[in-house]
Amino acid sequence: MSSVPHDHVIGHDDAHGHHPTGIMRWITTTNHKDIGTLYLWFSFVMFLVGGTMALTIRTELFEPGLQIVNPEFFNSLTTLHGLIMIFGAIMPAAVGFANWMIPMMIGAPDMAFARMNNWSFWLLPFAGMLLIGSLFVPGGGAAGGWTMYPPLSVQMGMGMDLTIFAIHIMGASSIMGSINIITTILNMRAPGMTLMKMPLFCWAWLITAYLLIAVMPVLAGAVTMLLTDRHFGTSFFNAAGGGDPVLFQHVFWFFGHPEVYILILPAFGIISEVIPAFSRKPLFGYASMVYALAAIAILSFLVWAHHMFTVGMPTAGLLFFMYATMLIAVPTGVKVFNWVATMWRGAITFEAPMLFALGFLFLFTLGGFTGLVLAIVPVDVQLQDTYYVVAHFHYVMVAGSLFAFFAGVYYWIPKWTGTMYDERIARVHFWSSLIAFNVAFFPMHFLGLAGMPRRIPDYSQQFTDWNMVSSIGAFWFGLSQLIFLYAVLKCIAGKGAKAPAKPWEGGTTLEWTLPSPAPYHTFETPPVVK
Amino acid sequence: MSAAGKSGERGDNGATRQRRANVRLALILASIAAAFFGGAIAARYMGGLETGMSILGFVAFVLLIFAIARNVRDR
Repeated sequence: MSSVPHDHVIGHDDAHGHHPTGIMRWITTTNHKDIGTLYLWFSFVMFLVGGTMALTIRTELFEPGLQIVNPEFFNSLTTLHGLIMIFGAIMPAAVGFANWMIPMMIGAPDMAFARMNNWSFWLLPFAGMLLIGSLFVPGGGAAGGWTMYPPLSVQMGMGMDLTIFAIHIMGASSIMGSINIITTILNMRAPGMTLMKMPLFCWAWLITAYLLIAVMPVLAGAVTMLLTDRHFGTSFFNAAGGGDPVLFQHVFWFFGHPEVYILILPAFGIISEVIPAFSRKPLFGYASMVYALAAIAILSFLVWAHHMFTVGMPTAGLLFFMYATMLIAVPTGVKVFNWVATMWRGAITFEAPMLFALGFLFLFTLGGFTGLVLAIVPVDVQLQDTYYVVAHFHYVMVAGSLFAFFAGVYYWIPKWTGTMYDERIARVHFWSSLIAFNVAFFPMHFLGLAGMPRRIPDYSQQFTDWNMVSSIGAFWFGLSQLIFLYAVLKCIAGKGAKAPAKPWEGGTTLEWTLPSPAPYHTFETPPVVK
Repeated sequence: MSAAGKSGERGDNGATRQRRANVRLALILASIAAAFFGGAIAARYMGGLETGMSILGFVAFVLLIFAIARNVRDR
């Protein structure tokens, strides 16, 4: 891949930019950039909703005893916080990035199925309303944890039904989105853009989309069986009728573990764009990065039972799932070492996207290590359902996915808005988030090792100090995100330096050949990639 | 990566061909999703979970190979 001269801009004017204005623009749009924007705003709103739930949980846990919410509502909060953050915040954010960037990165004029793209998005707000609305129906919201294990989920009130329908809708949206992404990438690349010339972000999303198509229907099948157990007299999971509750765990985690990679692979893709750009070097080991992504995806189907080591499996099963889980560290290690090797002897500068990428690298690796600890069966038996697990997956999901998304927003927002973000504000956002995140979540390792169980509104006195620290960190982290909102709104309002077509010297992908902001229609005549 | 000055063609024939290819691939992918959805439920009736999952995995694998191979052949 050769670099693009700074002034080499290939774009289209907006002569075809006749589109509705006002609210109808957003409801009827089939433009990938508009839909990407809708996804990103939806995910941010859901992030704030889920975050507010998290802060309520942390307020309750600030000290022992029951403070502000009753235990049933607390359980609903932990359940909906998980579901909203996973299905409402992280996944739509990743799809938002895909919508905005994939067509521009591969030289396509839009997504393959533009109308279906609109439909994929507009299903989401209704699913979100069902989820949040479930809190207000008789019996309250779903309260069995985001995993919805029976028998609790079979016995609950109407809130569980709303949650099941919400999951069906979000699943349909994800499957349609994935079909669109795979078709766009495989069929609409610009001439000369072979698969092995594609930006890593597109590769990451191609593999993620395959994962989604394979596992979202499994989740849909599981919750459909749950629904028929609840209302149509079947006994898939209802032990009273001869069903097997553990079966649900198997089916759920066959979806659930690949889902972890669905949340993190797009983040890997973003990091693989940001680190080379700010190191001013090509990505080290491009092919091995692609194969590592594929290896992670394939292995993710073989490790689901490490989430259920305590259900009573045969020793052979425990050993298989333990070693298979450890095996994932190999391709993940390849990626981490390649990112580090990319930086080696690079002309690195530390703008906000790079800071978030480095934050991701350190903290995601830490979360990966605690994952390895949890992969060891005898250790997991001790730590199952403790705060150690909560700390582990927040290091992977928040410091992993979320930090990568912040890196992606700061990296591409000049292209989206035509305005450079305020570097000072973005750096304050980074350092505040980094410190607050560790204040909030690092103490959870200690709490878990000391035996504090998760999903409880009250706890023993000896856990008080670290819970107080954690709650302070959580509020600090939450407030830090208002800085992010301010930085983004400032860009959208155009208050900042005008962004050039290629604001980052090290940016080599096709989107940087377009003017900033990117025109409404791009690459209607495909570029030829050398 | 560079975009050279000359441009490719997306004529009417090309657009129709591409649309057909898009729909074909989308149907293959949708059939994988349908197989997994129905299969996850059907597997419960087929006795062992492992049997059902193995069959599903094999079907999906064949479909994926088909989809990828067709794409590779086209290039």
